[in-house]
Amino acid sequence: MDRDQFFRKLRRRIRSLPPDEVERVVAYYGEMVADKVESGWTEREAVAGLGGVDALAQKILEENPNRRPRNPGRAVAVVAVSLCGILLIVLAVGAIWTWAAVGTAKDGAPLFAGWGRASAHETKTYTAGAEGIGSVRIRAEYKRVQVEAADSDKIEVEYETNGDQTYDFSSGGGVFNLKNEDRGARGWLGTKDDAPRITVRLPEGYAGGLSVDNLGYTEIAGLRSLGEVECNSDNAAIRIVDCSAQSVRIETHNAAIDLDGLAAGRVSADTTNAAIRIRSLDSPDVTLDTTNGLIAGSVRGAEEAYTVRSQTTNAVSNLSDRDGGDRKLTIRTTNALIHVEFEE
Amino acid sequence: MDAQIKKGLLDVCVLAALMQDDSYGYRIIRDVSPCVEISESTLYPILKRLEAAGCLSTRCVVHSGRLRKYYHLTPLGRARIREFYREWDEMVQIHDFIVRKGEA
Repeated sequence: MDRDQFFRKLRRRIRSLPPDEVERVVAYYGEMVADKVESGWTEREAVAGLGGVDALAQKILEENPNRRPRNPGRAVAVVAVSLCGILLIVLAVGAIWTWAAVGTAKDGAPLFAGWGRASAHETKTYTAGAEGIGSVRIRAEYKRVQVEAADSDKIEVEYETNGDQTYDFSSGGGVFNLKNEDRGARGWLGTKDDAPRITVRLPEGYAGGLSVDNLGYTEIAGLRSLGEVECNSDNAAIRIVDCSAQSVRIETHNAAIDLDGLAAGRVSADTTNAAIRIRSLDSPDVTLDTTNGLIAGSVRGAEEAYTVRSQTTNAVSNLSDRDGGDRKLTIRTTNALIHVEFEE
Repeated sequence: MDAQIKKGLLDVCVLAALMQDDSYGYRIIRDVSPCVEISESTLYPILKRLEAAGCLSTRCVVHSGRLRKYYHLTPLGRARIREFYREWDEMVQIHDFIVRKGEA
């Protein structure tokens, strides 16, 4: 059996485990196979060395007390979800009612009444269990979002809010969701430094995915075992500091991207009118793309280790295209400088 | 050897494999197996348990185009190894007692 077949089967056999545990198991055994192949085993030998898929899956399942229950649990879950649904409808109707009433009372007030108001935000916290969470999704509007590592086994959210904000938190199916909407008329001003903050603290060893959509400055720091990371933001900068991840995809417009001490299996960063800065970027597959901004900084490893493609139309690049390296470095800008150093 | 005793010993062996330097799964197995037999599927729950207990921490490093997880011995892990030395002194006393009674 080849590696892909083996892991496809293994995933199927252990799918009753929480999604983050499945990912950890597959990453662990995948690394074992890769390391064995590197030290001279053939792929088939390395896979066979793990024992049969069935025996291995059996052992893994026996070791895991927190298996998701099968059918009876599902029935309970359906009832619970239905009850939550009814509760939400009741709450929603209530909220619309209240909102309509307040809306009427507000009539006649200037549209931008909020502009001059001091940001009277209060700080609240929300805590959820991280057990079984394989994916964290954050959707926010005009916030300063900080995602960081904490010495805790919980997901902790600290957020600034006022009457214009809504926050929804939910966990289910291995996913933790945070959704914030900003109903304030002055929303876009919130991208300034005084934008309300959301700080999400994840357990240090959190190994799941992370996706952030924020119309505001976003920073991810200190998480060393992330899975797939996706980060989108319009008109606001994105910064990733001292993180490791399976893959990282970043997209923004009109704002800078700053990758400082990032290690990842694959990195792609895309912005329009701003710079991309990198420091000690450590990845075998890098694509950096901007239109009017410079791309500068350093990548880990000798130049010989890279296959390089760099392109700038109206400016200069210090890189020359080369083949033969195991690592891929693709850098494109139209109107600005490219300057990338290799750190050996 | 008694399975319970072996299990306890393996935990300490894995910690000991990290004494000099951080290490990764395959290397830990290579380092430990000349002394005690240990397979990939035996090591996994040990690493998980030791990490949960705070005896080791992890970080991922890019290696040959993929991620490799390195394990690092924490002060708590070192304390666990020292504790093993103390326990072993007790074991030796118990052993001596058993041998003495057997000879008597």
